[in-house]
Amino acid sequence: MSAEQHDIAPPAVAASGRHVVENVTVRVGAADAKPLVDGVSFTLAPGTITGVVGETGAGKTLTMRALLGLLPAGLRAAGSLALAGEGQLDLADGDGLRALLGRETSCVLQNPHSMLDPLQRIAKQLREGVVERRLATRAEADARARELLAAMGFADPDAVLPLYPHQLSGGMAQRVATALGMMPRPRVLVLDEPTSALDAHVRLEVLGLFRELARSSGTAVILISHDLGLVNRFCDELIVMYAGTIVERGETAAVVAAPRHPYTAALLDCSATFDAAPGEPMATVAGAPPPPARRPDGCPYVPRCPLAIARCHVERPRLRDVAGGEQAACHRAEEMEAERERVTGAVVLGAPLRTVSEPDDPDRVVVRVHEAAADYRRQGTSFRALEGVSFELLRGRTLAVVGESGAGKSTLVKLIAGFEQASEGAVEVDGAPPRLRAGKVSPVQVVFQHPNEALNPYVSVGRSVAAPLRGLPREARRARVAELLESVGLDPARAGARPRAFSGGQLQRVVLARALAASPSVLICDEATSALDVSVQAQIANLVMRLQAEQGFACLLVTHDLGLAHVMADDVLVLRTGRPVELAPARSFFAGPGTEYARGLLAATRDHQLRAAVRSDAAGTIAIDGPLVAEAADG
Amino acid sequence: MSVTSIRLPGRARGALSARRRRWPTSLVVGVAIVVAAAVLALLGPLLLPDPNHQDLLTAALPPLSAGHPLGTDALGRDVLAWIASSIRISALVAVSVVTVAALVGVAVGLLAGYVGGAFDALLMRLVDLQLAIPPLLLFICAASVVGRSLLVIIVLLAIPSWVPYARVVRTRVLVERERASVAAARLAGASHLGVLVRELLPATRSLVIVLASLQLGWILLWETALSFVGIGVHPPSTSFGYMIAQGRDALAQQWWVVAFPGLVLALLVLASNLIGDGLGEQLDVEVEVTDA
Amino acid sequence: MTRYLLTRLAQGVAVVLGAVAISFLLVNAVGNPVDALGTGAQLTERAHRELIHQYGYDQPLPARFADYLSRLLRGDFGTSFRSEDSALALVLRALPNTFLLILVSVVLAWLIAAPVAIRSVLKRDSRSDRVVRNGLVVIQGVPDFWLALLLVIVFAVTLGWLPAIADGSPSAIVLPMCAIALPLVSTFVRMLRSQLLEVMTSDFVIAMSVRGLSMRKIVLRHVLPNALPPIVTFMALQLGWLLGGTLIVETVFGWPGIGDLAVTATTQTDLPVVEAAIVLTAAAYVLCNLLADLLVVALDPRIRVAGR
Repeated sequence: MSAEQHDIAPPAVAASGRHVVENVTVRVGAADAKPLVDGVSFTLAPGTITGVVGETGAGKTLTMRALLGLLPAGLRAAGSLALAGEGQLDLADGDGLRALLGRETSCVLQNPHSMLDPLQRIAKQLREGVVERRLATRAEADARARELLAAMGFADPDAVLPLYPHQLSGGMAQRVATALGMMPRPRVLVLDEPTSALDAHVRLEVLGLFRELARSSGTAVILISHDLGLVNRFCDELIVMYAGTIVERGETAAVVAAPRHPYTAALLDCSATFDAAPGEPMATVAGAPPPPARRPDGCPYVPRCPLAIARCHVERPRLRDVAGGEQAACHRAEEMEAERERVTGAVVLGAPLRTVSEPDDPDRVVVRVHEAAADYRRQGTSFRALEGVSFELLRGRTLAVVGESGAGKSTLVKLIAGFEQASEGAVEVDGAPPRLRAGKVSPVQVVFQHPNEALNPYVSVGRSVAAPLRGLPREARRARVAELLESVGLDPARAGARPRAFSGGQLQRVVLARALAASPSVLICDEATSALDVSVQAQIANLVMRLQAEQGFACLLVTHDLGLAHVMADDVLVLRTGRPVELAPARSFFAGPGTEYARGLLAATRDHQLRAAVRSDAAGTIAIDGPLVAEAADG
Repeated sequence: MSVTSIRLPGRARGALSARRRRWPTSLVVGVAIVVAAAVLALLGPLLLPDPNHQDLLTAALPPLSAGHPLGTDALGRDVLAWIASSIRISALVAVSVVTVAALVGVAVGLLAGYVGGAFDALLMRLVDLQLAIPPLLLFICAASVVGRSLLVIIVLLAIPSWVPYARVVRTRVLVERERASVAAARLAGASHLGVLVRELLPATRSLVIVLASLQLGWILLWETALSFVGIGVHPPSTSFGYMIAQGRDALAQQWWVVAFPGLVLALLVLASNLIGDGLGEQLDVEVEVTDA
Repeated sequence: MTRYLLTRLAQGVAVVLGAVAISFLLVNAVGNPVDALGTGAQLTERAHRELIHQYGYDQPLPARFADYLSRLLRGDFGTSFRSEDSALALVLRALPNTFLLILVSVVLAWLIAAPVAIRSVLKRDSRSDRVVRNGLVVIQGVPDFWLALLLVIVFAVTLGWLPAIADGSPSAIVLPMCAIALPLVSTFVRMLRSQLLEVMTSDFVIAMSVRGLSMRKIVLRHVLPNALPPIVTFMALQLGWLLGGTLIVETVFGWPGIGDLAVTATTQTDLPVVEAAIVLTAAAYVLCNLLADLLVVALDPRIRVAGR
């Protein structure tokens, strides 16, 4: 794995050759407000890719925008940027920064289409910046554009140049946008989640191109991402941010092999989903990253840290050098190697959640789909979204439905839930075709991708959870709601609050509680964890597994995340453009898929997955779901 | 009157956004104007002479004359009294029209957006039709045929007025009905009506409030225009338009007969716009309007 | 794209038909127009019946509608009850005057509104911006006919610079033009500003900043062209309102446009002219909208060129 990681060695750069960023601080308005980004310092080596990872509120995007001089109105930056061999530039000097933008610094945003003007042809857009800045003549700019497009993998640049942005696919647009970012030969290029909108195999291709480009042009690339696996594979150096500060920095290989900060260790473990044994609880960290207003005085990670001592509550750790050229912001960084098991042990725990059962009893069939097909009508033409899908889902078992975007996963969900009727074939739930009827609670319940959209914002969460309980008298309803909230790890006293008072992970629990209130035969998890932070995702996944073991509903897991499927599923169904590609028991699927497409899919995600540190099963058990915090060790 | 769209900039926020601590200035000023007008309208009958009382002895008095602070018209009618009385009538008409229009418009918009299909297509054609035929033109033509009672005027004004509500509500419903919470409600056994009322209607609340505030001003203008050309409110009922029309005949000599009623009218319309804007700010709604 | 244009054409035809139906219903709703004409006209029983028969008002409603429709398609809108001219001719003489007035008013309004809106966006939330925007809100509420009268009082009566009535001189257009344009300025500024802001999402601004463009260039070169198509559509929609809105101003100044014609025809119960006014105005509106659609297609490659 290590040999694969760095195919082309990064250039050796002397310390003086690096770009230096010092003490970046971003505040809202007044100088005494709590900072959103607090004292971030790091260096960049030309020709390398530095990955920046962090969850909600980590401040990665704000930091980069401060460097580019692109902060939103109302935010003030402090700190300095010094490009190699040049003087320091104060980040409060907006004009100075903007003079650099488009020349020495550049960026590519997450949504590539937002980088392009829909009314202009590609050729014009590529040349506009450099010609405007008088960095090149029109002919020179056109030549460079062709060169860059070729470097980004376009076999025929001249075919792309006369196109309009809406004629490009997502992957094409991302590559064009990157070429655009590279046109002025910047010394620093910021890529903000450049591949999150792309399909798995395109993602690897594109990142490979980025790396080659960085090497050959000497640009220092900053890659912002939430995907540790990608960062591990493609980035030479790694910066981990949490709650507005850097908690760890260093060469990627070194940091991944031996993290010096408990958060880094936890993040690594949470990301290594292929290492969890099927049915066993996945690695997670209790709680969630704190919003800026509620950051504690000492170390911001204290509420979630299993290694916290008294000193951590009071004194904020500064980023300092620890062994091996790395830096970490933790009072106990030196002890991390020894304590790694303990940190890991606190993170992964308990006995397996589910027993993998053998299918036998035909009465236990909950969902039966036979040669189902579904059509979509749009503007007069009809298009087949799903065809020839067949499977049986038994009580207490989980079927993962995986595939790229456009595979037909959501169509299948709509068929099973009863929102749409199959054009051909049969779909049955509990023996009958699913139909939505007023007054009848559906035996199929769904946990959606975006929890804040899944709840009515105008009513309390208690009311939402009680929706399927219409038939019960008031007191019984209230009691049941309290019971349900507890079973998903929420405080029943909060039943009267509106959704806006809760975090994403908490909202997802509410959605689960509502689904359970209906005593469903089938629970469909439609990308239920995709929108959550990595450290929180497993909380929900573990919760679903536990509830399923207790209540015995069948589960349909719709996801693009094969790691999740690996842990949660008994069977796997792979879809591609509406047609089933493979249907197999999970164990044999993950050992080696039967079809080539599935093999490619698995390779694209698993091969750059991280391998977690060795874990001992004898670690102490702490509740894995719910707001409980790991107890601080005494120190 | 046609509203292009009403947007909620922070769509995920909408009713969820934290209320600002201070009321927007525009809202305060607008409400102040309305309150002042209301006081004038209420005190008018008590303190001021009968607006319809004609007295040729006190005809065409300029402003600041004794007993007639804003002067009188060519027939001796007191301008201030007339204004006070007109406020009452205009308010009655405007509020009635807007209420009816909002009720009808929201209901139609909800159904069109939710049910879609032929019903929706029909609605869109009606919207196009309403846009194509200048409402004022239609009013004038219709009023000449149907008559001029207050009730008729209210009905006539309401006919094109429900359309912006329907349009805006429909657009919002088209988006909101795809929300996961709507799907979840149906899975929990909600009827279509339940979904409309509990999930979709609250989402349109802010839009309707802002639109209604703005529309009050427009209705005032239309009603005045109708009265101005002689087919709207007419004596013994009082109206701004009628007085302005009266003043027009002797424009050079009695400018105050035109200026003051128009000024008060302009202030009332301004108040309506300010309140609409202010509420829009407060509720995070941004209105794109095609009518003044 | 062709499909899109054909659909719009079909919709336009439907609208015109709707207008025809409405005007027909309106005019014939009250029994028969000859009776409405009746006041003052001394007609014998016999002459009355003859008139009714001559105009075909004794037929049942659907038959009359069919007859009306077929006459329209032949271009026969009937003759005015009052003058001897064909209703069509009267309307066609009046419409261009209204269009002229609208055109100059709109141009004037945009000449003021566009720079104000652009500056407002560039200097967003600055003090001068707020002052301007507040000022605009105040102007917005002003009734156009009242403004017209005020303008007459000041510029025609008191100062004597401009004519108060349309007397055929070119300067007669100035006052009505100002009366219509000034309230529009506020609406246009709001409209343009909000469209500009909608295009100017933070991502878009960042992307264009990365090209090293100043904010001013960003707005003029990228934001404005992107904001144009919705504005063209908006203006086409506005037209319907403008056509009616200028109505009152026309009566104040005696401007010989469609508004003036309609009001006169209505007060004189000259029903063929009323019918013709409604139908032809609607037709003009539909035509303008189609032209606007064509313009939008030309401006926006996303409609013109097939995408992925």
